[in-house]
Amino acid sequence: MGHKVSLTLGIESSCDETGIGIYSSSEGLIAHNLFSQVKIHADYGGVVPELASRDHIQRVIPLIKSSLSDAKINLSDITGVAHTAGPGLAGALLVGSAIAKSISWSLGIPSVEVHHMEGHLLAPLLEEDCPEFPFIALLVSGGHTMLVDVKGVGDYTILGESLDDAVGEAFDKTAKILGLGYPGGPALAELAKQCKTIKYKFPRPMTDRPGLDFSFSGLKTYARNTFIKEPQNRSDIAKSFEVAAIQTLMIKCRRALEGSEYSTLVVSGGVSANLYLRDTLDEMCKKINARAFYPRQEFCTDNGAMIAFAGHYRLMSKKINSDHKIVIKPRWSLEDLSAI
Amino acid sequence: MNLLAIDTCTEVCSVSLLLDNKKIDRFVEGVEKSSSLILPLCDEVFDEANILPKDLDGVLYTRGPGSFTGVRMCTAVVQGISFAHNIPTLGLSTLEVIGYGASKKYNKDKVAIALDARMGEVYWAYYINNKIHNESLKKPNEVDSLGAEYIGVGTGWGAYEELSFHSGVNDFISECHPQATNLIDLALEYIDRGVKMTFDIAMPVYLRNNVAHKSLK
Ligand SMILES: Nc1ncnc2c1ncn2[C@@H]1O[C@H](COP(=O)(O)OP(=O)(O)O)[C@@H](O)[C@H]1O
Repeated sequence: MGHKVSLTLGIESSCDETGIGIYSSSEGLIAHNLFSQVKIHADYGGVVPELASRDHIQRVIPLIKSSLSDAKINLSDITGVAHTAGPGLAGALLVGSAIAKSISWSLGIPSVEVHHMEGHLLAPLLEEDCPEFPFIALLVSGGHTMLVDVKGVGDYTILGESLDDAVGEAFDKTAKILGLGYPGGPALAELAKQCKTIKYKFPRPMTDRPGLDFSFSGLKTYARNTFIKEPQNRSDIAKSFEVAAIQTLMIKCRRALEGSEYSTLVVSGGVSANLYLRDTLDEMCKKINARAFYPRQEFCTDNGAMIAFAGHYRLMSKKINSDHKIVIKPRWSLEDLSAI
Repeated sequence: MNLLAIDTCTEVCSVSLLLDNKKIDRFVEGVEKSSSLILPLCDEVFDEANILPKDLDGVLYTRGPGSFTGVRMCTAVVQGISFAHNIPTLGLSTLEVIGYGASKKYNKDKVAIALDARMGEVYWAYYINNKIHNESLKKPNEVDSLGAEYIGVGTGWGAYEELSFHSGVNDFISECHPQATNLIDLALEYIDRGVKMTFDIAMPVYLRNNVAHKSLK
């Protein structure tokens, strides 16, 4: 009897990206496809949940089809289906979850609910040169800023979180103030490159006291006030904001690493695409004999590959519920996951 | 011919499975979350029929209108089932399914259907001699003036008293819902008339499309 290869189909639809991934137990990630709704929501200055749901339902099946054909396999080869069940927008989550569950029910194969942030957290493990457990994870996206103690898959303790805006959100809001459109994080980073010397000293919120929580809404306000006074200095403001936000993240990462016995930092989520962040964290890690790992650029933001991958781990563990209820968890803490 | 019909568009949830010589139905009222109900119901009817999803010759569904989430739940589930075994589908209007069911049940050939669409509006249509007309999203004072020979059905009639005045319809039953079992019978009539099921991806029809406002920045 030959060893059976498992093939996990992953479906992500928690916000404004429809992502599909296929993960093979023998070959790793064998296909992934993404449709980003950024253009759909740009005119509204933020994600419109109903429009997001209406788009997801048109994308999921075509993206699965192209992923299967990229991987040169048939749907009947799939051995398990993973879907993002939360956290995220209820209507959007429901689309991917309903399709995932009806496929798994029809094919008579298992399905598994994946926590979106666990997907992000494990994304760097998709790379060849990948981190080993345990590690400290910094999750930085449009909706979350979190430091997590990771002992293994599913064994998570949240060490700190943002008390107000997520760091990606602060990037986006500051970009908007500077007239950069939506979502402005990457554009703000581009603009900041034009500035060679840092002109303004923005605060480093909550670094002067112990603890690992964050607060970014004050930084955005600081940027707004500076912009009102000196609207001609957009790139200086962008740079000063970026430096302040990222130095703040760095200080807390260092604190978290030093407070643990770990020497590995894993950084994931949309903002981990930021190159200044990568340089800053790499430099800090070097100083304390630690090492930072990141996903490849395209897997920093939402994608289906990370869901297929996280789902694969969970399906392997066999601790999956086999009823056919379509479950979504728009609010779902990482700490509620069980270790595998 | 084995046909599965699914409806989750409104506050009820139903499935119906047609086999060569019998039909197996499930209908649940007062549903808060069809998400936790729909596939278990499917599972039940397949168990009872002792067939598998791959044995289906077609999947029928209510394509909307209804609650946005309910409509999407219905189409998403149908997309998955259809895709899994390459089974063709046919989507029919929720309003037509209600109209068809009511016309059979109350033995009326003229039915006015109004579903509560919230925000002071109804999903509206009327049904005469097996044909649906003027499916639309309407304010109660904009509906067609029909007359007393019609019977009104659907949650809209309970939600908006003035509907009766503006439509001229005096008798109405608001506790009248779409049912998958009617969807099967209606779809069979369509199929008899030569309408084909399709391999195109099942898609919702919302009727209400103005759902977001552009920011002024
Ligand atoms: N180079 C960058 N610098 C700063 N922020 C970035 C960069 N690239 C992406 N982002 C930010 O990442 C966020 C999107 O990340 P994602 O993981 O998709 O988050 P979510 O799912 O929470 O929206 C946005 O806030 C975006 O502005």
